[in-house]
Amino acid sequence: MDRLVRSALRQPAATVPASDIPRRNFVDHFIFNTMEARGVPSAALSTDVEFLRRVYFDLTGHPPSPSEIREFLEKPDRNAVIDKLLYSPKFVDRWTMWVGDLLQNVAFPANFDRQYFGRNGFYEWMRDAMAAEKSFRDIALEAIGTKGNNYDSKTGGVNFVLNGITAMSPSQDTWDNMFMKTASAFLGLSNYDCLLCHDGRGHLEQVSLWGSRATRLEAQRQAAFFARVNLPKPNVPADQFYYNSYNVGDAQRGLYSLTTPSGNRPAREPIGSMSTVDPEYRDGRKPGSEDWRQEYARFLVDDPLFAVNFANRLWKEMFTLGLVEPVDAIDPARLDPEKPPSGNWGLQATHPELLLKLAQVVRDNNYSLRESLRVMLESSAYQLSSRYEGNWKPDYVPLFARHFPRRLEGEEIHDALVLATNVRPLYTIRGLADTAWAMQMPETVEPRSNGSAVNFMNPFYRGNRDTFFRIQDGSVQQQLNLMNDNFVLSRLRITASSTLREAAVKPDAEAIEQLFLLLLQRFPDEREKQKAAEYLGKAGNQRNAYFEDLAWSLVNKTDFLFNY
Amino acid sequence: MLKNRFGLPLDSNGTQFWKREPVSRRLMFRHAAAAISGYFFLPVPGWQHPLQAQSADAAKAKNVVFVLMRGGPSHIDTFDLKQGAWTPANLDVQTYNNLKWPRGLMPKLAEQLNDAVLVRSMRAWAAVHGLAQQWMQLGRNPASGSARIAPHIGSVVSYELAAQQKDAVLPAFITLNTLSGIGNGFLPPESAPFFAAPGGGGLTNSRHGDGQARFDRRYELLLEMDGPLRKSPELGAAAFQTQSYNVAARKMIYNDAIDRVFTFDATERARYGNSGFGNSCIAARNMLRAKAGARFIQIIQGEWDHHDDIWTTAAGAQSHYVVGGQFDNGLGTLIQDLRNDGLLDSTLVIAMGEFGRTVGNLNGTRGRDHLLQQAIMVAGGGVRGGRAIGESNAAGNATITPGWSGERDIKPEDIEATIYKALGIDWQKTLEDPSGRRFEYVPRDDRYRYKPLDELWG
Repeated sequence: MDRLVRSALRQPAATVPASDIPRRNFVDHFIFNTMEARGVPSAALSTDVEFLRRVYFDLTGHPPSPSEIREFLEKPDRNAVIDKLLYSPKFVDRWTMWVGDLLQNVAFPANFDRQYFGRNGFYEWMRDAMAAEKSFRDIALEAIGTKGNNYDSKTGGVNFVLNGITAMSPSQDTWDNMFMKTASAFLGLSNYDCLLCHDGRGHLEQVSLWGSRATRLEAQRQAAFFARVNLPKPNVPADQFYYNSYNVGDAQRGLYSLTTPSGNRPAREPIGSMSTVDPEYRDGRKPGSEDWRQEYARFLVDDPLFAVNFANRLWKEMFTLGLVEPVDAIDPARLDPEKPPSGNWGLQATHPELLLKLAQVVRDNNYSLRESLRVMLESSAYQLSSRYEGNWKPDYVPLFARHFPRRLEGEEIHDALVLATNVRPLYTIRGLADTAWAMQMPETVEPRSNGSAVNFMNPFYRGNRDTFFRIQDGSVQQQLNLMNDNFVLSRLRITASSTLREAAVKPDAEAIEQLFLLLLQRFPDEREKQKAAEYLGKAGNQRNAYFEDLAWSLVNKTDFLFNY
Repeated sequence: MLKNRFGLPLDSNGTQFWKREPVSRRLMFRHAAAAISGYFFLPVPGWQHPLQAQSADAAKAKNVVFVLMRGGPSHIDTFDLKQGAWTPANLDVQTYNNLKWPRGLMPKLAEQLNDAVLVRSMRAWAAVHGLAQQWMQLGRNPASGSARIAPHIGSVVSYELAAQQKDAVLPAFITLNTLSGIGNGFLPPESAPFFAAPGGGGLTNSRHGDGQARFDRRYELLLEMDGPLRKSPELGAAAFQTQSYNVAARKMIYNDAIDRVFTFDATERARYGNSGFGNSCIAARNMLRAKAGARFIQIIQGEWDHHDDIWTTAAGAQSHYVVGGQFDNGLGTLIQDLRNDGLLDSTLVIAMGEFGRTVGNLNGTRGRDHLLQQAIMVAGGGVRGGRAIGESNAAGNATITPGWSGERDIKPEDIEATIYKALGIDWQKTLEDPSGRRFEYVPRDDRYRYKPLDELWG
């Protein structure tokens, strides 16, 4: 590889022995000791500039500004910046989006109408939870077990249970899906979706050791916890606020009966003399009170998988790849390194001890989102360079021998362009405050009031949280948008952008550096400085136009699109 | 080496995204660097792993145009017409080969009935819009275990036909008249739909707002600035792959072939009815005419959800007359043009809503509500037209004669199987999904035994 290529991102080039990487906390012991034992070299640590951009995007969904970059470089205290970002207002925005994806906040999903007020109640409940540092345990308890109206932000968590509503089906289908969605989001056990139709035997042998032994009946026993859920709509006139809302509550009675000849799942038929299914948690616990749904919520948050799932999902957010993949298909029979599975099955996690230790840390910190993230972020493992100069092998992937870049989300790209150019939109969101920031959207189909902003972001696959989900794929439409969309072009005009205007009047070298900091959050390397200066040198009396061209080229550079 | 007018080689430095890379995705993972996805832990990515495949059927058609009549058209006022006190006189009901047809509502399609089959024994699974629309696009229950990662029928088509797409300027799967929707599921991104809402003024963002000269200058500068990163896999396969998307996008910009597809004038728009749907039909025709690579073209049409005032003539109302007129002008003209171009026999056209509507007299708000029973229209692709398959009862709310070898109501899964088979795709094929589960192109069900509607050609 030639020297110019090597310097493309101004990073240290060579890989280093894993033994040379400082062990900053237990995460590093597991990650680098494994690499050391296998004789796999590690990527070098990231540079300060690279680290700063990465951690800003990962924690807040927004890049650092030029002054924040310069300030950080004066005193590059990485732990201090992690702490600052964990407790910043933008952290609340970005993690409200995350939990909104996880709990599928949508105003008009395919199976029922939550309405704008319901969506807003759900959104505000999540936002308040993030701002108030509510423990993930309490979030789950409220989302699964509480009662209240779904339009109210105080009880907005009840909206999660509504996601199970299955139209045109027997109630058992709805209870099944209420259970399945809780198990998937909070335990990583989406395979219950299979089990709610049929036993694992004969179906899941290639998929999950645990699943291959689990039965439809044990899945239904957990769905039975929802058999008393009661979703009346308040009887109020159409002009009243609560019209069309749900009062999520529970009836005194209700049984999960095995008598459904039709619906979205295979017929439910009596098993011998058993025609109804009593609620029983997957570890055998049975409800001790009449409030089955609340009992289920308590059982779930005490399930060891609850912390494992939380740790694994956060790890994926920070490291781009979960310790267990896919994150919603955890195999509980293949987690415990003390009891490795027999036969051809291996342990499921790339680092089984690390995953269990992270789960312990999650519990020790009372399921705190911020403190759980802090442990990961402060590790050398998170702070590795994404470049790997040696001979990279696919076997190194599960070792996390380098940092894996991720494509920026549509919201991140939108907001990064607004921040860099300071050309602010203002979007009207029904029932919520106007905002300039995509990261503050209550759902991923907003802003409905501005079709061109939606059309700019959608090709980056935000998904709709209901019938198609956020994915990381690339597409040709992303490239068409970055090159030609008016959302970009209108912001890269010196007449419109105060930041570009201020940069353009500086001498070439300073102007170029400022433009790189604004758009790529890094300094240009020698080659880039030279090429950029050459280009500006050709401008003649069109300096502003040429400066805009340079800005356009940076927006379309590969590294703009990735958090690396 | 072939070069375009900007001096860029046309066939190197990345490929168009809907084609197979010269280096397979698997090799890219293996050698270039780390791409980012859960598939890493599989020894072989699922989509390269046919678990069960049988010999493919002989293709009856090359292309599919799939019109989603969103909202659910009233079948007893259209494809399964039942005349009664509720039928407005201006529907001008006529009989063609024993087929009753609302000539007053759809005069252009009336002229195409010799090439069309009306399938009247179709029954949806759900009468909820979002759910049923998803169902017909996935060809499976959206509430089922694998639906979360299930690809659109068009993505399966795209995935299967990738090898035939070598010289294409367009991807195989196009969705028109909307800019988002169901995508490729667990299949590779190359099989994702390309969304466009054609208006006649060219493909959105295929031209540069600051002018072509400026664009050329900028793109040259971009290659200078980004050159080293584009040659290096240092950011991993996902980033490395981005350049191929960029090159593909670049080829669409100021491209005469793309312009010819997406640019059309007011006369043409008027011929097709001056609607978003009509414009999409023009683009679909142009793609097929140019053999530009589009093989499965989905067009979203209408808002047929006429609970209220289905027959109103009030100004601005989206009544049956308006939506039906758009449908007729767009699809009727498309079928006619395809026939004149000699393309109809190789293009299977399917028009259907997600379900039908209540029968008999109108409801209290002078409209019709949701009903599972429905009827659909199929034309082209060599089907034997001028007839109906299946028969509903006198009211139109249940099937009395299935009219096909399945001897039951026809389901969206059967339509899915029909599409695959018509294109020569093994509809019984199974892939391994990323979780190691069996993914059946057409779901297997012991009770229903979904299968192609071969009777269309019988």
